[in-house]
Amino acid sequence: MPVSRFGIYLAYGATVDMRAEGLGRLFAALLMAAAKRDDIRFVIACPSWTRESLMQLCESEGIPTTAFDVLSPARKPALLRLYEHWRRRGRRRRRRARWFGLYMARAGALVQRALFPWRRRLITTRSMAPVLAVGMLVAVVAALIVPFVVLGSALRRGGGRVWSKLQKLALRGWLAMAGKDVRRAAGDILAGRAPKDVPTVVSLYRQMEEAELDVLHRMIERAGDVSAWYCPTAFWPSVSKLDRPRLICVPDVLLSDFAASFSAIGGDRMLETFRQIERVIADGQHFVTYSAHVKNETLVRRFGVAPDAVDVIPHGAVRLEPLITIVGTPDQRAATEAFCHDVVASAVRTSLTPLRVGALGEATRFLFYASQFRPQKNVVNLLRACEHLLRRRFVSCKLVLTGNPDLSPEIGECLSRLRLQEEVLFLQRLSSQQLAACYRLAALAINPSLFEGGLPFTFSEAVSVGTPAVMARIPVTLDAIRDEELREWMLFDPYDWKDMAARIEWALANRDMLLQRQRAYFDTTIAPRSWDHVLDEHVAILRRIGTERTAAPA
Amino acid sequence: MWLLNHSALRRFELDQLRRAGVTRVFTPKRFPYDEGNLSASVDAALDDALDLASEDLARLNAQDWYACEDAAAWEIANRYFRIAFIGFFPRQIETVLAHFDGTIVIRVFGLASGETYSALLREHLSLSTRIRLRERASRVWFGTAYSHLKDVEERYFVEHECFLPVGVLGDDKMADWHGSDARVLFVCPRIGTTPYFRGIYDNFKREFGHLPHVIGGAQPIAVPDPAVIGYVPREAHERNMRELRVMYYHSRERNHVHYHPLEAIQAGMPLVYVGGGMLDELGGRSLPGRCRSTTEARAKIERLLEGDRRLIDRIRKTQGALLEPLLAERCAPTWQQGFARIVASVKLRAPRSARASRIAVIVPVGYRGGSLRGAKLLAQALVEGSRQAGQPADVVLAHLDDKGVYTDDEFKDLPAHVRRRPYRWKTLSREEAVRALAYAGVDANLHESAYAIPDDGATNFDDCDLWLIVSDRVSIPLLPVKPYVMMVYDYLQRYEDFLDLPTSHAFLRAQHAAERVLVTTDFTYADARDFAGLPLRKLRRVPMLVPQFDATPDASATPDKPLPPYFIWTTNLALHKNHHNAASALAIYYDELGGRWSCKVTGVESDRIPTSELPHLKPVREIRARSRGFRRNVEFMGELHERAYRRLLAGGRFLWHAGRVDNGTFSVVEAAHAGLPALSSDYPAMREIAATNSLAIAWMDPHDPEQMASQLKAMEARADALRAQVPDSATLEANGVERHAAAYWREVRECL
Repeated sequence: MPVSRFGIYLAYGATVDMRAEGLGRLFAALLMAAAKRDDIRFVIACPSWTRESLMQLCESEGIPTTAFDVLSPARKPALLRLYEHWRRRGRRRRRRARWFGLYMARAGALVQRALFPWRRRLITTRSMAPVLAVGMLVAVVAALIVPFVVLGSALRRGGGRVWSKLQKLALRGWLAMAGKDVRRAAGDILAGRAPKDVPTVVSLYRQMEEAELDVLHRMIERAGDVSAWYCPTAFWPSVSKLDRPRLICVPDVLLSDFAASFSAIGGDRMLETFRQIERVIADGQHFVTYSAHVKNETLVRRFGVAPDAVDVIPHGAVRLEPLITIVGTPDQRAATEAFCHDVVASAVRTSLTPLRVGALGEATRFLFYASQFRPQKNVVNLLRACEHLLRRRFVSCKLVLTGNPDLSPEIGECLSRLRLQEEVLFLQRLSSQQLAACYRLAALAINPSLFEGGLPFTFSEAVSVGTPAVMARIPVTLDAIRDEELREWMLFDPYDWKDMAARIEWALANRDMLLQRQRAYFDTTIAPRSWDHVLDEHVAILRRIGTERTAAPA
Repeated sequence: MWLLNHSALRRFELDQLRRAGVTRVFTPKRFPYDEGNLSASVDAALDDALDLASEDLARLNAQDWYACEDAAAWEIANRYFRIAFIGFFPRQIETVLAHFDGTIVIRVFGLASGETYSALLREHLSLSTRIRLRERASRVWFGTAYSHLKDVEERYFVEHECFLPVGVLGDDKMADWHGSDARVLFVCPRIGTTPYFRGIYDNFKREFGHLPHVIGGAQPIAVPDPAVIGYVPREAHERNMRELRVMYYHSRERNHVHYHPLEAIQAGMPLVYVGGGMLDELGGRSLPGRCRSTTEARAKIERLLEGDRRLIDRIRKTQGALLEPLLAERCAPTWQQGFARIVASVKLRAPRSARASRIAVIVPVGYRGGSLRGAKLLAQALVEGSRQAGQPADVVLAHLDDKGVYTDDEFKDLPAHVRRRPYRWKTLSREEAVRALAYAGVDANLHESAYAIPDDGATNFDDCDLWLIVSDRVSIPLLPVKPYVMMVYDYLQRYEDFLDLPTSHAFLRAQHAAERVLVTTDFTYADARDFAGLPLRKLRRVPMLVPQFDATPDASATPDKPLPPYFIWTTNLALHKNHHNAASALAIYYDELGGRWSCKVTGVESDRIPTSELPHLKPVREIRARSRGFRRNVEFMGELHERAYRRLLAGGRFLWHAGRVDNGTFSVVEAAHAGLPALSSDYPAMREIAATNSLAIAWMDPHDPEQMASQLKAMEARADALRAQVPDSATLEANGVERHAAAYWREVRECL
């Protein structure tokens, strides 16, 4: 059977972990579907620094790495390797210290054991002669050794100081040659500033990235049998330089939908990112997105893209139950529940530091919202709703979130103001299995997001493991949930936190009924659309555009 | 009773019991359905031989013997059985120690290096269970599967160790092996569910993944690797054992060996293994299948896969030596000797102590008023409950030794059989705590820098068997020298901002360290489960103990002429009493709604409300200053003596309870005793009090002063009708100590 080869273009930054990216999970679903096909094969082109993250994503999602090819420069840039080496110094030092400590402890124990009989003899002897003899021996040995020990210690200290001075001199010399900007940047980094916040570093990095992508593009050019390329995001303007038919995925352009909210985030760096997105869209010729809403409102109306240049491919159903369902016992439900408790307890132990005893007890009732913290995610309204439920309606339950509160001062401030520090837990960097277990044990899954590119994964993720979900009444959700009564039961006005609270309260009181209804809808309407279908539709588009020749923009 | 479900172990041990002359053995018909129990099964074959009454057998078979607390089932067990074999499962150890009167054999099979059973006992067993382990030491045994397991254990374990080797049953099938399938068999179960096995799997794939291989072992969650075959039917399994070329065994654990390498040897399959583990102890240090490293193992496996006949034969001919010490026939005599020791000890069982239990009911802070009354009721309930159960207990009520807080008058109503004992809190440093526990013979992990102990100037309540702490207000961890139960009335800090986080955390830690936490409302139960995160097996809902109020009118105090109508607002200075909204409501009631009834404010320190500098009370002063109606009609009377308060109740129209949230107040019950209805804030605990006592209560929203005021006005028309619905004394007295004492005693008794 002839095999069609299509490319996937990735240009993630040097420190990005694909497992933590929402795109990463979507990408994994597509690869899993593709792994089952004999007639297509994907070639993934990525910078050298992304290869490791890609393999980690495959490992965590169970994607066989033999199912695709990788095009990537063989080695990372030397400066990047040096920087990563420098970042790991703390770990190395701690590891060395630990091994050294173990070694010294062992050596000490051996010496103690060897000396023990002699010490015992000395302590118990009745004769003075051995005592005197040992005393003299110790004095002689000390007299001989002590000067060397003192000298050695001084040399070590002095040598250490000299070595340290030499290192600093070498570094200063190199920095002097590298220029004032680099010197200043190095100083900032050593002082603890994040490299991405240091303009010189960013500039140097951009040059490194450009050079890396140039190499990558040359490799892509040589891969002549790849008929079309798919790029899963509009963040990478370098994709426009590919002299190949390109299908750009635009899940959304949140910066334009939440202009004021995002203006306070990321400074001019974020603006630069937006400009890049604009350029990609302007230079692109074929687009795909997840919903008619994004196609019409964002790409067509906001960015002026021709409607027939945009295809809509809704998500497949995300099913989490295979990750947690225990088979082979007489009571699958009980075994699965017990397993999920263990998994969540483990996630709590690793995520919550310091861990407060009973933060999430085995029987604690909790609501679950799996999302990073972005302005459109509507977390503040969710917190208001939860506070109202707890202190006005006396509905007892905690809230588990998966975002990082340190990156969102607004959420931290809201948490403090509403005194919800003990009611809200942040479980970050959950594996897919831990995510599934959290959904399974939650009383209710929630998605209050004001905007999503397609039907939020919350619905299928939750219902697939037996937990009902309540969600914001937004266009993409209304598009997918067509049943009027079900809409009434599960949707709320995301701008009205009291409506959100009322919906949550109702859902908790009618959990079984809601789940039954949602499960039926999921089984008949959502679940039949698998990622195999999604892949088919992508392949169809790639085949179509693959017959065209596209010139790179001037 | 052989209270385990491991299939292979059961086959061997039941056979040994039979050889020892034990013909009646009960085995459990249920086991925890978790992903670690895939080798478990149920066998009812021996039930007939038990010769028990069918209903007794049915009751035994219905239990989960890994966490059984069914009193009737244990009564049957104690009647018929003298020895119980159990696993090293903390819950099972706890329940069997608590309920079984016979000899207990805890089977242990070895742990990963660095771990010990002694440490696990300390970490996972409650204090009361560890104390029972000590007190009942003469009938506890650790049945070790390997004789060297005790080498790393502490004294208690060593002194109670009994070597009961596990024998391998099964036929020698060496001659059946062919090895035609040139692949490595590696057994690694639970890859998708256990990080430990996932790590082993990853290591194997990294080191040997390039060689043709098959990975066996039950997989509760499917693994997306075609080499992982998971559970296979018996025929396929036998075929694999017969035809696969070699098995690789990875483990370097000194204290444990898995079953599958032994099975491979029995099947005649060449076994390649890494040295340093238990197989070395079994005589495998110099066998040809042994390797010093994975590199060497890889090289040998490659040779075997290529068909190196000499190596295959050398390994097969010599590896039987590993099985020798484990053969059932070889192990049997040693097992029988060990079992004989256990049987002999059964005759030496010490009688249970006939001494009455002594329980200290400790009031940890200077509670007065309703909270102190609650403590006294608790003490009374324990006395009454123990008496009803035919197990009379001594109860001591412990309170702070502070004359500024407690006078003798406070305890005049204490029943005669409850003794009073004042105390002060004493703090021990960690070093002192370590010594104290050593002296007391208690084994515990100490992580904190200081511990508290109630110092009564005598034994520090060491003469008591259990402490019952009234509330969770223990900010320094208690020295874990005595098991304690906590009575938690509420989690106000969840709703009101009055407690800093470190103090709240300290209170929660104290609850988690308790044997049990008792709550009296569903509302607090939900808070305990969700906010405190208490496990359900520790959390108990007990009935409210409603005080018995004397409603006899005081004839001497009948006023000469009827007083103008009034209602009574009972309150104190606490934040959750909602003073601001209540005062706002009163101002609206009088100034805007023309309220006709005056308001008498009573309660501990309530006379200080208008002048207090507390931030949450300042608004009351401001409202009073600007509201004429408030000034004219609201009287702050302070705390009244009981008789005066009864007089006040008798003349009132209704009781007003305006607090925002708590565990409920019995002031409405006291009012009902005087025939008064109530207007109360609407929150869950008050609804529960109303329902439990069939009270006539009108409700209001404590967050909305307008609504509160309109409800006050409405009471002018409704109060008489509501008064007619107030229940009679018999109904009100139905929830007293007598009725509910048994429930309290039951909870406490299980912790003794």
